[in-house]
Amino acid sequence: MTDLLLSQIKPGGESPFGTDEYVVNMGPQHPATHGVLRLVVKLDGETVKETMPVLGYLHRSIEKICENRTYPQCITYTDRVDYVSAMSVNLAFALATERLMGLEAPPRAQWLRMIFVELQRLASHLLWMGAFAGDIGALTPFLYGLRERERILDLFEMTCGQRLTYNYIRIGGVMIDILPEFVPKCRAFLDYFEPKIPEYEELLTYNPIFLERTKGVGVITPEVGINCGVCGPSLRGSGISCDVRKQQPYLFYNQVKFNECLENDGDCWARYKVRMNEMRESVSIVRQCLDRLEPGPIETKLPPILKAPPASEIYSRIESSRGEMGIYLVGDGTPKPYKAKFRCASFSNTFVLDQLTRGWKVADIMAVLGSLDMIVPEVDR
Amino acid sequence: MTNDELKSKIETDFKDKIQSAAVSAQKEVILAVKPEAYIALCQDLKNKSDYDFQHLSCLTAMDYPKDNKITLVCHLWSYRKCHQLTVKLDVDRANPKAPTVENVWKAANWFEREVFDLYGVVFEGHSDLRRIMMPEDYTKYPLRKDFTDDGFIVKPN
Repeated sequence: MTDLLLSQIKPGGESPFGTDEYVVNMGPQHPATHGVLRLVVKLDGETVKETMPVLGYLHRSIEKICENRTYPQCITYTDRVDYVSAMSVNLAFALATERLMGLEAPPRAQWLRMIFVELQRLASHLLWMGAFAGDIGALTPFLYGLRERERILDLFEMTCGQRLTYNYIRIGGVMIDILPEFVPKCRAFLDYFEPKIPEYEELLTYNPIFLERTKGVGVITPEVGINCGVCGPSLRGSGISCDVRKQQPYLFYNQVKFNECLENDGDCWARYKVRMNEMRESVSIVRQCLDRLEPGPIETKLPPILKAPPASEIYSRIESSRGEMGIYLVGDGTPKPYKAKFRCASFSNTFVLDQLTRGWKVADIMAVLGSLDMIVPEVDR
Repeated sequence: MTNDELKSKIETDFKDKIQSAAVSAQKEVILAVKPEAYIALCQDLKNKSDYDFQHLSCLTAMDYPKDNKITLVCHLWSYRKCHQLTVKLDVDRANPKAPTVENVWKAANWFEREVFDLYGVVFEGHSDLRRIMMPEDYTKYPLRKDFTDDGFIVKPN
């Protein structure tokens, strides 16, 4: 039998064995999927024919839990929606509730919120940079990224005592005022951090191996991006202006100067560039906020029991570290939301994965997945 | 376009397709659409350059057991015009069926799967209508208001 088959192989001719499609399971326990995401991948040799994400391994039904909690209690759960960027989700929920009830936080609280959300964006992008580079083989940036993230977490810990799930931004203001030494420490960190960004770029941006792995890989065209609901830095990599901070300003984003970072290629490298440039913008935003921070109250006076007006609803969006974060709240006159929907950037960004990876090799899945900056608790909620 | 202008323009352009249009107390334009005109309205909202709602920001549902209805809610956003719109469609709770908007905005694919999974609304014409969060053999719809399960305890007031 073997002799027969071997005799059929002609030099330069087609193999008589043929190739079969086969199905490979990546995850749910896989070092490169950043959590419990399972990908069912249909392969022909090493070429990807189809990628099917299977979700739900981290589904806690936070939306159902929120329907059974009062508004202030819900804030605790929002931390767990995106634990790498918990401040953003805190802010999203607090803002939505305030808009629903017609409240407004005092100016000092709003500036503090901006400082912490932008620091959080830095921390999130740093972790992303490390993980993304690690996924495609460059392990050093991970250590650099975590080294600087640590100092941001120290600033958070100094203020609210927590390093991961802060519960700091509350309805009507923030939990506690910053310590007097926060401002100099924060400025010292920014002065230390800003020259580090070119250092990361030296490691990665024009590194030939990095370029080979990211340039032209997983291109999101503007049409596909908009149609599939891609948002945040991933869509800005395709040249679409979609920053909620610019388009629908909240807090005091209309009073600070910053640029919306856009790239036109739409590939993994463009998405990387957008996030690196966003870090520079965030540093500049935090500096401006620190300059304009003035003493004052940090909380508005709230009624003893927070109730939304009957038959009220709000869809409130912010720009979280990963992109557009929308909170849909429906009030029915009771202290609990009738409906709380979290529209998360990772959920809609993961949807496009199948289209981006078709025709590429298995190893490119990791590059594309990493460049979309998805995080599983946000996908599953 | 301000919200009031958007609302009156929609009222004149689509008066045979919508049941009502209103600006809510929270300054959002909310449309209730007639079931038979749902897809046509969505297509017009996306493709007509005056509206340009290219981005389906969110699609979800709400359960009203007392009124025996489930309401689908679409939140639309226009990147170029920077305006927002909420489109609502009521479906029968006993036999929840709705046409899919997947062919208008592809992003609706997963949003609709999620609504199917958690509310049990069947989207006719959907390309891949399977459960997305819960296990495939699960039979209940967790986000419905009358949901009960062994592990789920409603917190007393």
